[in-house]
Amino acid sequence: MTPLEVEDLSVRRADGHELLRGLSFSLGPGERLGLVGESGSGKSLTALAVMGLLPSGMAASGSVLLGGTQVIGAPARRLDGVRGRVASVVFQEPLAALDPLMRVGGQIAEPIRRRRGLRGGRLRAAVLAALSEVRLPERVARAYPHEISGGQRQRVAIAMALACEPGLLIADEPTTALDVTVQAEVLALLDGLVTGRGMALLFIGHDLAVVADVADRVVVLKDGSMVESGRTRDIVREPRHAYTRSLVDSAWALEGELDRLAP
Amino acid sequence: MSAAVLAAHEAGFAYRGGPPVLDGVSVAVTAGRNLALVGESGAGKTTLLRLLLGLARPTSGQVLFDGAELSPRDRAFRSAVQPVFQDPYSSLDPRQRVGRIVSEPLRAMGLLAPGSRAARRREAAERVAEALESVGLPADAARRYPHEFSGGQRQRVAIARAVVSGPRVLLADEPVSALDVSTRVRVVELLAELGESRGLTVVVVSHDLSVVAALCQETAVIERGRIVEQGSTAKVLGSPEHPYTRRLIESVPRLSRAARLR
Amino acid sequence: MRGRRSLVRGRRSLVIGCVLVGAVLAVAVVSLVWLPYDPSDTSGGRLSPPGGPHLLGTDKLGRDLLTQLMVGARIALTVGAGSVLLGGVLGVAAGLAAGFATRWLDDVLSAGLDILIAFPTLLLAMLVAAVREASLGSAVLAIGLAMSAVVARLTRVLVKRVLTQDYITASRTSGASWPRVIVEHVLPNIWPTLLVNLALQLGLAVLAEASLSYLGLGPPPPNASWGRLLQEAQATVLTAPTGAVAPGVLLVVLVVGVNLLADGLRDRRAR
Repeated sequence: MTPLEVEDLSVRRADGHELLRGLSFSLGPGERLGLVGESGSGKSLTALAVMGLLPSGMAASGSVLLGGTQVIGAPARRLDGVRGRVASVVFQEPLAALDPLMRVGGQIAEPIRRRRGLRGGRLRAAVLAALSEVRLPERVARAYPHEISGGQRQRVAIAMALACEPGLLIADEPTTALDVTVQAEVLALLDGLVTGRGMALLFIGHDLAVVADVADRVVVLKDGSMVESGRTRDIVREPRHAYTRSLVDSAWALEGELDRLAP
Repeated sequence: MSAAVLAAHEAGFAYRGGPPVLDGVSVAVTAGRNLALVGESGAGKTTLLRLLLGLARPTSGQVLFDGAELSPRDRAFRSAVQPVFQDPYSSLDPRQRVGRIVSEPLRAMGLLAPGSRAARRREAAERVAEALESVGLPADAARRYPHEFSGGQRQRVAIARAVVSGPRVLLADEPVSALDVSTRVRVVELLAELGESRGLTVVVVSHDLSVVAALCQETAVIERGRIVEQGSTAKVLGSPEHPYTRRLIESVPRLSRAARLR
Repeated sequence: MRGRRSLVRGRRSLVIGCVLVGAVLAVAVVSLVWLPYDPSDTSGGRLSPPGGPHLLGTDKLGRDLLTQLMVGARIALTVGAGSVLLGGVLGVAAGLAAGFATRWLDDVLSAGLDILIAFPTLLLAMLVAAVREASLGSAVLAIGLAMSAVVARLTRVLVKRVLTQDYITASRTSGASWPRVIVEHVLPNIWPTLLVNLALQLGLAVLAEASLSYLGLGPPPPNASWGRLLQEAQATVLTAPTGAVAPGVLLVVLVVGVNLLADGLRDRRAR
């Protein structure tokens, strides 16, 4: 079953303004697709539309098949069964995704209990297993979200997203708020988990170098439209569209100086 | 240390009852050598910048301006050392026109030649227009409000305000990290260019080593309130000695790696 | 999207609010130069019905009701505006002090404000009236003091929020002194929110004045306050309803008008 097929996806505001225009792409099992664009390009909106989480006042048209289920126009109840089990999202700011008044262990336990029906000792064991999978020590389970670092919080968010063993992980700027060394660790972790579970990955970001590090194929968005898509290596080496070229050139221009000093 | 415009000498900083945020930090800003302060969040980079700006006093050690202990109210210091902030949405007063924002240092420091009100206003307008031009903004930008500009343009307005008093040192806290990549390149170029055309020395706090490599001749690496390595950027980034510096360099996502691998 | 609809609604609130408040204001201004009768003229016969020489009838002492209502409009607006002025000046000053204060002083000031806010306005008014005697000035003083605590607390929060902005630091490093920073950046940025709140406070002040007068703690005769008219007409509300209904309606018109005005201002600001 194809984890994600997007056909002619458009999103418009209530006043008719189009925020996304005719986006099409698909993601096979185990594939990794990057969605790159600058602020306002519509990349985060795409993630919300795919999960059926658009804010009220926005309407999507076209087709989004998430694990074979049509998301566009689907009733909320049907989407509840899809989210988490078929696909999960990790957002930029992990603090916003976590309940500040609940210990981390309890938050990870909730989706596991709901989906896998575990209780008591077996639930506890599953929570600890989930924590060790994202390389977090056991004591984190007893901490509140504000007591752990940004990188640890993002790992918790990843553990929660993976709790129901979805076939697709959507990561929306998951490392933008993190320091470089922490970013490198989280990216390596994501890479290992996605490979290990054979999951598909939709990775959304503004930093071409980060996206290129993770994704095999890249879709470039500008002002709500796709301007180019293709294999990561081809796009990084020889972009065809003028906008992609300016994006790639900018990234190379900065990195060039660093490559010269520290190859 | 006589050649240093601005220097921290064994400077430490701690909040009352707290652990030190900075501990025995010595850095010197030499004219013409842009300096990068590199490290991760919480390392103390921003605190060091606040000490150099005279916004906080070191709890131990000294901060020196032109060889003498820095006094924040000194007009010579204020006009010679100016900041650029990270977030161009927070650094410009939304209720003031750009002309008023950029001319604030001139008015607040009394840098306008004494004379009639009209003459002073004319001089301010001329110097604002010149500052706006030097950052690549049209002169009519002065009549508009910050919300009419994009993030990159707003950062240019902030830079115009910083250079209007004719400073010798610009202290920039993550000046491009809030900007899109293409804008980022252009603002880095602008800072490098202003350094040369106006004899400015730029001190940049950044976690982005590409920006550091592109802009700064000198680099100091800060980890947990201490400087673990400093020297010429070529040496620090090219042959890092401290393990933390090495880890920092290895962590930078590189396009070149992606281009090779995939 | 939200913008356009709320803008239209905002403009409508603003227009209706202006009309209602403007009408009461016009009546108050007219009362300064012209009144149908002398306010203390009791020659009209007791409780004469509306119509005839007395357009709205007379009260139980034979005074012309229209005259009383017009004077009442003046009193309501005077007390409202006076207490907003007093409460605004005191409140903004205290709020600025607390907003800029060190942790210790801020804690003390905030605790003081909390006590003042928890203190019932009526009790405060009784205290003021006991010390000074009931008068127009006492009503303004009591209502203004009570209001200043609310305004101060809002100002404090707004100031603290503005102070975290980088443009404040930029202004400091531009060599601006704190007073200059306050005038150039802090006040202009907190003013719009404060203005909306002061408009709301004006409505509350008018109501508070009516309550005080109803209880006999307001300005004494011949200052015909709507609250006292209500109280005096209470006993005869079944036989001469106009005496109670008219001041009540005017009170509602003014308070609703002020609130619509505040709503309109807020929506305009949110643009």
